[in-house]
Amino acid sequence: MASLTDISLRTAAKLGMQSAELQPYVETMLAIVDEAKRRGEDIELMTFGTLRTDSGQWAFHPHASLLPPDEEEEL
Amino acid sequence: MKREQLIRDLSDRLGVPEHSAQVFLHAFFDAAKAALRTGDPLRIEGLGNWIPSLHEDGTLSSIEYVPVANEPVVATAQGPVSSIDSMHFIPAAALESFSVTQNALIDVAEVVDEVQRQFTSENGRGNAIIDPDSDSSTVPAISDVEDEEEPHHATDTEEIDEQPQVIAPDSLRDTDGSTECEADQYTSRGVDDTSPSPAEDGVGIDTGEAFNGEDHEADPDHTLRAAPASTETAAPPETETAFQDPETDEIDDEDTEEEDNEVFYRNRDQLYHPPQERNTRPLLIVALVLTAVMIVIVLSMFFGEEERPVVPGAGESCLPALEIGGQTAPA
Repeated sequence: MASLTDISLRTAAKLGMQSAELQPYVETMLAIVDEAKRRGEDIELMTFGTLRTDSGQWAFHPHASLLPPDEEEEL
Repeated sequence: MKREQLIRDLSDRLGVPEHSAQVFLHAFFDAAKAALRTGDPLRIEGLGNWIPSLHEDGTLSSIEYVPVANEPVVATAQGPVSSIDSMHFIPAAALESFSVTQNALIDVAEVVDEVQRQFTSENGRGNAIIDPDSDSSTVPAISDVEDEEEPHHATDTEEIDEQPQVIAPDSLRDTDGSTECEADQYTSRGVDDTSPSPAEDGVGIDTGEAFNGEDHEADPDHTLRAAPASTETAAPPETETAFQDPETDEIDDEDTEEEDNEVFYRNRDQLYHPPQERNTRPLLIVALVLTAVMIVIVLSMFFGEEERPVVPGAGESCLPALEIGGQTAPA
């Protein structure tokens, strides 16, 4: 189970920074996303996917780069 | 919310260039994608849970998303600190016995014990700590405060509304609801003229000035202003740092933010503009030329025309010509 801490650590490692240095970015980003969720807006999470409200339920639509292309699409 | 809006909001709130926010967001969600591709479930508090399933060849086949609707937005740990945070208020009388210098950290467990003693001693009076039914013109209920100031913590508000608006001593140590019976003896009788109001007797736990020995009875409005700030649910490990002086915290935050920005920009520049390596092409060309020369030399040694050494005088015969049959034969 990868947690927010794990993702923060990996992100920091990618950027060559300490996890604590990225903490303001993580917290602010989560706050922004949370506010958007409370407003009921669809949220595009960069190239990760999109959170959408479908009849009151939040659903995740992964970005095309997350899942491998279908075989039919390849053909 | 499109990604451009997310980048812009993050940039505005942190006061950093949009490019920095964009680099961070890309790196963050790329890390999340990498985690899912390994098959590990992903849990991001406030966003949700992702449970991936993989094909036999190890590629990602599908992702199940579990929203975080029924979870608290900010996870709280068990123990006295989270219990105090959920109640948001502690009686000021419990703090008067502490002589806290500026910027000094407070042992939260010690404060909890003092709060417990205060409640035990004031049990006969039925001192009201939080009473949403009291006069709202002087003391706003926590639910009202949070609805107006912090809609983000609606979950905490629901928890508070469901519980009796008291702080039971045992509940400070146990949050599993097992102390409901004990809590009855501390049930508030409401704010009346004889019992101090929460504004007079309670201060927000996050209010740093409350620990500087200031008399909050002289400034009840100050307590009311501090109450919304205290309703923010802080992560338990950081609660102790909340007792520091707010001005010093602000300065430290600014310094830390500047350092963060500097480090972020430096690393970002290195990430996108790595130092160029030395150009090794001339050395490569020289090596190739030398190799070719060596090959030519070796080949010429094997397949080249053999030059016979010239002996002085060997080209001219010193023997006299022979005469055979009247003809002169060369020597």
